[in-house]
Amino acid sequence: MYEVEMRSFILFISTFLIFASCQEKRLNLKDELAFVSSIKFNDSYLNKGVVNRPPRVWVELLRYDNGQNIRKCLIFKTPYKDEKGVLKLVDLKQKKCSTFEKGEVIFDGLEELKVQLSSKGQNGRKSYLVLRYGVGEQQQSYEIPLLNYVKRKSFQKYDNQLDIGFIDELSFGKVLAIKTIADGNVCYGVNSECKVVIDNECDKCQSGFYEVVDFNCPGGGSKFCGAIECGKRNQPACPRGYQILDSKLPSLCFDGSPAGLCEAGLRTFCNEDKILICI
Amino acid sequence: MKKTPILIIVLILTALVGYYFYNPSYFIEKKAKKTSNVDFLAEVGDELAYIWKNADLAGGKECFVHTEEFVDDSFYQCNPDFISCLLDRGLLKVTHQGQRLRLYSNIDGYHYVQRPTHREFLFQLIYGKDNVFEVRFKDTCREVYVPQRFYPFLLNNRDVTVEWDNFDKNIFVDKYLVRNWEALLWAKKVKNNEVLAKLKGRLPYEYVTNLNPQEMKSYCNFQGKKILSARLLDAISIHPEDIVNPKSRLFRAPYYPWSRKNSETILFKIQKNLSVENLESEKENLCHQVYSQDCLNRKLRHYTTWNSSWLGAYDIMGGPLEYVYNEINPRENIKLSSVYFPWKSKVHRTGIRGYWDGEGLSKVNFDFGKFNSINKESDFQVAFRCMRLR
Repeated sequence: MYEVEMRSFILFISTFLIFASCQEKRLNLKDELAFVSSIKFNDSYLNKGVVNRPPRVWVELLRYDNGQNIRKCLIFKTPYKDEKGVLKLVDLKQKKCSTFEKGEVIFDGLEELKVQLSSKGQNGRKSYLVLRYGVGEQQQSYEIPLLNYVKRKSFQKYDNQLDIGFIDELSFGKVLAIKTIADGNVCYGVNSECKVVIDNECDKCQSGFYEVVDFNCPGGGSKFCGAIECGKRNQPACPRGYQILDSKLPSLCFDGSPAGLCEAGLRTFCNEDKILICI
Repeated sequence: MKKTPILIIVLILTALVGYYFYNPSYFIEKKAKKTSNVDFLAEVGDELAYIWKNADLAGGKECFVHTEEFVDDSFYQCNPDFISCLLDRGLLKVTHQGQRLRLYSNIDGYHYVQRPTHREFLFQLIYGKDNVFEVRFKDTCREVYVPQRFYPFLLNNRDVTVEWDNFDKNIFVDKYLVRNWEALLWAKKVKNNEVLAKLKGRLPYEYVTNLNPQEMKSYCNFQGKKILSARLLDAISIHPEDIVNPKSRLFRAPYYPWSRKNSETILFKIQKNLSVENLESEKENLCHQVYSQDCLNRKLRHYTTWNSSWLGAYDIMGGPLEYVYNEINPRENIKLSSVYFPWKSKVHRTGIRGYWDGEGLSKVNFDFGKFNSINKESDFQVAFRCMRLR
């Protein structure tokens, strides 16, 4: 009799602990992601239906940087036959998700997981990460409002300078450090074939950035972090714009080029770095 | 046998504790309140943002602390001191799950945080007994986009036009000239005691008019911006000939920021000695647009939206002199349209500029060119604004 009671007791406690730990982890994922501003989704799985290929393999769903030197990946082990899927958080080390580390299991026993970035609210400004899982009536969804996630705006007349956010005017949570680029470094680079060789990260410049006249590229010339007084002697010429010239020349950097503005009395000159300066 | 009742009690207690945790909704809500404000913030954020950007409390003006005669309501939009006042007076309320909650500040005031693309103000708020959360209000009210198109840049007091374009470039300008409260925030942040001394005792909503060019530059650079260039001043103040077509190459620059037809404006009629109907009654409005020497008997109303240019920038004509960075002609680095000249003077036209050496604020520090006949020797006011590339 005593043994039976003891067994029931242990069973009850075990069930309760398992359930409580499951709920706890769910909440962690929401707390973990809701305040993050820098998330990189894996386009192979985002909004692409059920994540099931290749089977029984850990796949990366997203990676993020929480601004406090914590970089993690949300990875998913795809199901195979009776083996259900597992969702877990692991560290991002040397730009790779450590799939074989223990990590923190968020959900297990998952069937038919779908990962969606859904937009709600006025003009679809509010981004939610939605995890749908389960089959038929058992289907459930788990929504995480991405409170600090921003999307680049295509600016129009009367717009302010900010991107589209969950709520444009607000950020939430503590102030997190942002990696900035020091003055003098290139923050956007193009080559002579107008190929982007350095992605645009000029929003990370400490004190703004400036553009120089180099190649005749649709997106403009290369950009450097810092503040200069363009147009002055030995300084880069001030870009005059590309369409106004209507030029088909591959490079706008040549002596006397009209693509840059200089102070009266100075003229444009293409220096050895192929940047138009004023002399 | 003695152990059985103890076991039963333990089982009942366990069941109760189990129910407490097993009920998922109760568990989630309880935990959410204690450890996470995610759902709460997602719900009340819009309301907070609305109050922040509109300074609208359904007509309540308790925190409009400056006389309406001197400052327009738009001063309070995206204004951290306004939010602070609301919190101090218990006037900031939000609706959460159908209930009105009163928010208070959990810290003294707020923290100014400078981001590369914007500035924000961190408040730590509290509702109920111990529900604390952090929210950062972004300044979304003080920069405006410069549409991509062809523009004229006027030199030699309108004699020369340089054509340029900003296609594929995102440029923003400050909507208003920089005000004392903004410079004060920066000077405190960077601990610039010289500037702090210069700003001491100045009214928050008035123009910053006593910084030197280096200080102006530092103020702008700190925010990832630079001092407005003369060609951008032209871009924001010269009404395009064909506003609909950004690729229009019509570069005739109208004299006044509000219309492409000069003859339609009162200022043109005054400058041409033409008769103006009801001039006295028109003066009030004209002073809001161009606060000139003719307006000295009236109060200057700051942050007025009467003087908006075609793209939504303000403080375009009149008021203080405005310092700009002239890429081609450094001898044309101040906008002359100001309170120092009557409407009759042609300085109140787009593209008319003079020179300031930046060394002082006496007449000897300026060259007003052909408009030099001015009966003032010192204490000139030079304001400025910044621009940003994105």
